[in-house]
Amino acid sequence: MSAGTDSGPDSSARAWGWVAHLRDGGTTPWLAWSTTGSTEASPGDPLPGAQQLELLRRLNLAGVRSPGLADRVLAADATGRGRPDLELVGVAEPLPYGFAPVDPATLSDAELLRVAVGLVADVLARAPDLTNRDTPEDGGERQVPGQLARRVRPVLALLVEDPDERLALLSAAGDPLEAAIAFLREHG
Amino acid sequence: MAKRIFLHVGTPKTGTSFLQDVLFRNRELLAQHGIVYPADRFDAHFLAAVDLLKLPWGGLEADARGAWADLAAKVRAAEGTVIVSHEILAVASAAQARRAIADLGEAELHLVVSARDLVRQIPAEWQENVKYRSEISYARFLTALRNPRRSGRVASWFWTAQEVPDILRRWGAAGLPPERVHVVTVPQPGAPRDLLWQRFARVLGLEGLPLDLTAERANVSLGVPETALVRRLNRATRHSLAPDVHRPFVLELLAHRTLAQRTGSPRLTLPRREHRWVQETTETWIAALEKAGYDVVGDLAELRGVRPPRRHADPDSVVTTAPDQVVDAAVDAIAALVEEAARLRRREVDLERELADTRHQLAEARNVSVRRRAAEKVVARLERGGAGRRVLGAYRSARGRAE
Repeated sequence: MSAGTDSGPDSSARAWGWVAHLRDGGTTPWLAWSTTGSTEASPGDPLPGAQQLELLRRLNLAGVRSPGLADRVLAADATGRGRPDLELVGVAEPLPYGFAPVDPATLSDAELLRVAVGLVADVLARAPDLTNRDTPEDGGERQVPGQLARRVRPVLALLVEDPDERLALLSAAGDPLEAAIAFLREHG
Repeated sequence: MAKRIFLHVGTPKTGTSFLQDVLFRNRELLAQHGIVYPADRFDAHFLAAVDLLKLPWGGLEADARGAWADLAAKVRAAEGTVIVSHEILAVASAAQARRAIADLGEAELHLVVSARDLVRQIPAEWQENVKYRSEISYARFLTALRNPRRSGRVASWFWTAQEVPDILRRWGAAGLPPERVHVVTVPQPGAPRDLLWQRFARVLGLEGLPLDLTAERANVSLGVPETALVRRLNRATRHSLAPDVHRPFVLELLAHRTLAQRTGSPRLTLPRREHRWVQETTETWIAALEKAGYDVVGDLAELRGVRPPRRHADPDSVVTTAPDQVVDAAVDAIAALVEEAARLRRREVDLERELADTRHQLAEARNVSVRRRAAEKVVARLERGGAGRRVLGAYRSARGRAE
């Protein structure tokens, strides 16, 4: 059994160590993580959900860093319907009820997108003029109506309720998770 | 008396609409007895929950902006006992629940969950899905619920909203004294009609109050052919009906006001072949709730439900196995729609008449205005010369006016 699946007394400290690693820009997957670490969390503080942690790892893998972004990712709610924030496999004893803990690396893009969409929406809510602005290569700023909106549309489309029984990616073009990560790289 | 908050966080299909309706309509009387139900519209707590949980809800989420902050402010400002109730709070994540409780401020917090057996909840939830535009078959719905990953949209919602021990875990019940966590069980079929209400009243301290219990907003269920009809309608109107049209015409007019009135058709049940896993799941819940030592109002044994009947009317095949039933339901639906169309046509005719009258009055007013302006010009011209003033004087004296 790999390190990440050994639940035991040290498993919570190992999980908090992984959280700290991700906050520092780390990219090690949970199942490969074996180091306990000091944590500023109070005893009893809930761990962030597996969806939030894995999204932060993907952002780190993509080299996306900006002040406060890690905190916002870890505190973000998943948007819309789907599984609640999931626990990391190996941290707590499995219960006979509830959603099973997961290896975050196995989460689908759609589940990560539920978190990413909320972050994108928060950025847009704080700066609605972003949808009408673009920054050209010469460093100046000019109004290009809709240009940014076109880039984030695949992501924002997920805010629309999907009437079918599936976590559909309502992507008009391109990969929506990549679009969300690109957006957060630029504006997050 | 210390301030107390009763936070009722689910589950759907457990008499919550009736409870919330009674609380809303009696809120002034409740306030006289030191019980605050902070709502200025019947769906205030629904909107607050949609806002808190960031849920898309057919466009209603636009009305929900800021609703949780408003509700929390009212709760913090209130004295005595405060009741917050909405069943979709059941789907809150642990982080959302933690923030929500912090928002409500310092008080003696009581968590309330009402629970009904899965034997009835499973068919009821599928029907809710269909009422809210889902096209999923009953068979696929059941398969999705059995999948241990629970990863689809339907299964994730169902278990998040219905799994009572997990709802209480996410809402932090473990951090509360067990006597402040109340599990209200829904009585079995055949129990006295007001038994569930008595249980809610006991938990919330409403016993003995002269409340008006007339139901205005009970959430009604449909029969098998009626649900099959709505599902086919969902498929046919998938791309043509906007949510703001679906809600008044399909959900309210057809489902609630028309098809739910047809009580003679077969009721939807859990297929008996599904009963074993449902029983096994239920036993894990009962064991967890017993172990936690919560205040159970009713009886956890009621969560086992009754064994489903051998005869099961299958909503996926009723169109072919009992087409007459579906046709009968469709005729009632068409009649209701035609009557509604006639009502709207009468309203349209009335509005057209009102519009014509208004246009006529406007034209009249314009004519008067034009004539008046022309007269004023003539008077002004006449007043500029002596001859003109004399003509004007003669005219005014002929009309009997001094000037």
